[in-house]
Amino acid sequence: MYRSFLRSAALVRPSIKLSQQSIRFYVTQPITKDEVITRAFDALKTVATLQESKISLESSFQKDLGLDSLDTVEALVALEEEFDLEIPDKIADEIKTVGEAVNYIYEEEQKL
Amino acid sequence: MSQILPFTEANSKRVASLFRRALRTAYDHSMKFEAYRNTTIAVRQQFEANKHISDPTELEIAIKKTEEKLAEWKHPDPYIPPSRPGGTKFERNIPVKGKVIEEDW
Repeated sequence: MYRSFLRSAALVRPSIKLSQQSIRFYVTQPITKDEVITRAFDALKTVATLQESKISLESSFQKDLGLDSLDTVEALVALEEEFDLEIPDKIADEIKTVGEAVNYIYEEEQKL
Repeated sequence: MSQILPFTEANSKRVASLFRRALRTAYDHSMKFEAYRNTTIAVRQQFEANKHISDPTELEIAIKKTEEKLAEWKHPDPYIPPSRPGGTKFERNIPVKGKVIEEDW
């Protein structure tokens, strides 16, 4: 039934503007690790103290990127906002590098 | 002990936790992202103002004051990410466990 609907929609489509007449599918592909990494880096770039620094997976927030403890919290909160999750205090204290944060987020996204 | 007493790792964790809670409270209270950003800057400044504290009792007082302020600003209906525990989308479509009995009524 849905297939036939889609087919008919595909037939109707060319007459209407493509951009406005898109069908929304509510099941999305599971997020890939690369996607997590790029989105995490983009989110980290919004943190004021990280804007000019070179971020890599191995870089440690406090040692390599030179953040203090509050900056680290800000960076993690920026990641929380990006991925819409809440990192509990205990785990947030354990996270020292960008890679660890990315791994945690990736595992959490798999649970959804 | 290599560090001066108030700047131990445990204390910085406490302050970090307070700061995190303050940011979340700010998020709960601001309807617009721009307002939230400005509030985070204000919160950060309030924390920075107490950066110099090196006396343990003074530190305890500052932490207690922050706790009180957080309790005062605690949001009655805080934001919970939809897919996380307590959120509106949490476990909405959990797969059924076990077998469905069909003809054994």
